[in-house]
Amino acid sequence: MIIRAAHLDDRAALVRLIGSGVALLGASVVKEWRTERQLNESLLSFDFSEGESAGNFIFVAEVKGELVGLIELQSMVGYSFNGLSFLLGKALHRSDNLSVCHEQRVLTLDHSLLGSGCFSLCVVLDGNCDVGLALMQAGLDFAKARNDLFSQGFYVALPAQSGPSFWQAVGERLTAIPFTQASHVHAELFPQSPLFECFLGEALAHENKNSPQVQPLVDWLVGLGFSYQQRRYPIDGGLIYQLVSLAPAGN
Amino acid sequence: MMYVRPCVLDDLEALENLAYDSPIGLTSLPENTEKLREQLDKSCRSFAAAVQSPGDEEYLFALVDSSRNCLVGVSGIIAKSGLREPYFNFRREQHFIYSQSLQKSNAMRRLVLSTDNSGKSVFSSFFIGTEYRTPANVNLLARARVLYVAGFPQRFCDEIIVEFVGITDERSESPFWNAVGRAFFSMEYDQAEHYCGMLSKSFIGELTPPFPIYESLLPASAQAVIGQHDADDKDLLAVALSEGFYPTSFVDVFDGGPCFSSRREHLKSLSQRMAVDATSQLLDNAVGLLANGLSEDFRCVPWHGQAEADRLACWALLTGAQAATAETQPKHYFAPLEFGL
Repeated sequence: MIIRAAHLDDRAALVRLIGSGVALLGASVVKEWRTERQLNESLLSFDFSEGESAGNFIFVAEVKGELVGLIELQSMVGYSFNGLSFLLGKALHRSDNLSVCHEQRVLTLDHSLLGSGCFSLCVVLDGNCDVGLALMQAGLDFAKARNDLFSQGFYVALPAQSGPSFWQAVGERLTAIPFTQASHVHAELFPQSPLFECFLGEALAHENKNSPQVQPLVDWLVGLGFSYQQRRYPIDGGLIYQLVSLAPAGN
Repeated sequence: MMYVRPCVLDDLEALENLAYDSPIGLTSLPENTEKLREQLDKSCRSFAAAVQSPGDEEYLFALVDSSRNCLVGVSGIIAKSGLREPYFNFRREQHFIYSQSLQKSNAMRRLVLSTDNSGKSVFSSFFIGTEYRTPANVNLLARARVLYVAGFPQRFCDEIIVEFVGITDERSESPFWNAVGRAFFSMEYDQAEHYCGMLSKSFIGELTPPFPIYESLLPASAQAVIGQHDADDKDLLAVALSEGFYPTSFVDVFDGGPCFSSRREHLKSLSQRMAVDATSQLLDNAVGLLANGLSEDFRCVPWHGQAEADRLACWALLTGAQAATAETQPKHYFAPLEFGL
């Protein structure tokens, strides 16, 4: 298996891969992914990006001349590709007059991932996780090598165990857009003030749980130093794993 | 004959009975003897005070059946809200979020805790026992307050609001409270109402979040009742609308009931009132309310071109009260009603 940067000749194969592959990461990004546009931007990013600039970088996995997977990295998230996330926190309801005090959890949309790098999309044929992990490793190696582009940390939003239930409890009620049409950018239509647990139904029921399918990926990320920092992906509520810095320790 | 007068301390027992019969959302009429006694005492002092500008006065009016000499309804005015304790409402907003990527916006209705209604006069505590709840009595008790305001505008704020009890279901539970109040207050509706009547309302500000509540996240049953009034208040709402009150974006924090507002000078019974005396010919075939211009001895009676004997009784009631306290002839006000009594 060869992993390399995507080039113009891959266009048709990428279209096929997007159409027939399985999204290990970024299922909601696929819906808005336009192969030609993304590929052109990737080529420009490889050629011209320097310093802290927003760009996307597409790598492909090739076996015997056939594309079996792709991964897309984003640098400087927030300036082009939105880096919105829900921060899971707590609100305190306290009355000195009544001597009562209780708490509840809140989800707050914020931009704290601004400037980070991330994997926005990983699609593989037949849902082959080994190909996915190889692509992610190559992507991280690239990010480490280009620390000028990825100096503000890196994150990965894992697919949620709960399927559409998170969107149905939060996104659909806020936007009236059904899950089947919901894409990554629809998080931009969410309010930025805290959303209270008492109104979110089952949305927070699967806190801190990953689906068995992504556990190998979680183990791999944790092994590299990634950790869950109470951030959820706003579309499906998937857990977000973050790495503060890609630079080697002591560097 | 039915008439309206200021409540007096002797009304305590009758008021207590009304408080126990009143709906759960009427916090200004607490089911507590001491609290009611305090309210009566304060009302008596308010009517008696020489007031130059609205302050911490609260007025209670009694609807009286003179044939049985009993109090059958009550209504009130808070001269200026938010003086001793915060006056909270939810303000209902339409909030737009625009996405540059999508080139589209998302409109969301949301509720924000507000004290914007502080510094306004409030028509409050309206309740008439079932037996006496007729359109004529609702008109009389509700509009008598306007005629009192007309006689003493300096006692009240430029803007007057009136809140209506929100909708409860067949189990007397408020869907709005069950969705919103219970989540933040961690108590049952009647307990919160009890605290409201007995303690400072500042706990509302302590327990309600300072952030917006998005209506679309609430259960459909709660969304459906926001800004809706209890069906039993249809008659009272009709009076308020005909007086010139208009709906506002504010709703009650506990049950989501609506809040209406009007400039004091725009109230119809106030702006259309006429100074009259017993010989005024314009009263011959007129229908409306007649009030004397007194404070402690305020009286208001329905007038519908009645027979001579009834007219005399009306005037006796109005002027009899004044004779006891005033040597000079005060003005009498007549407010016509388009649709009769």
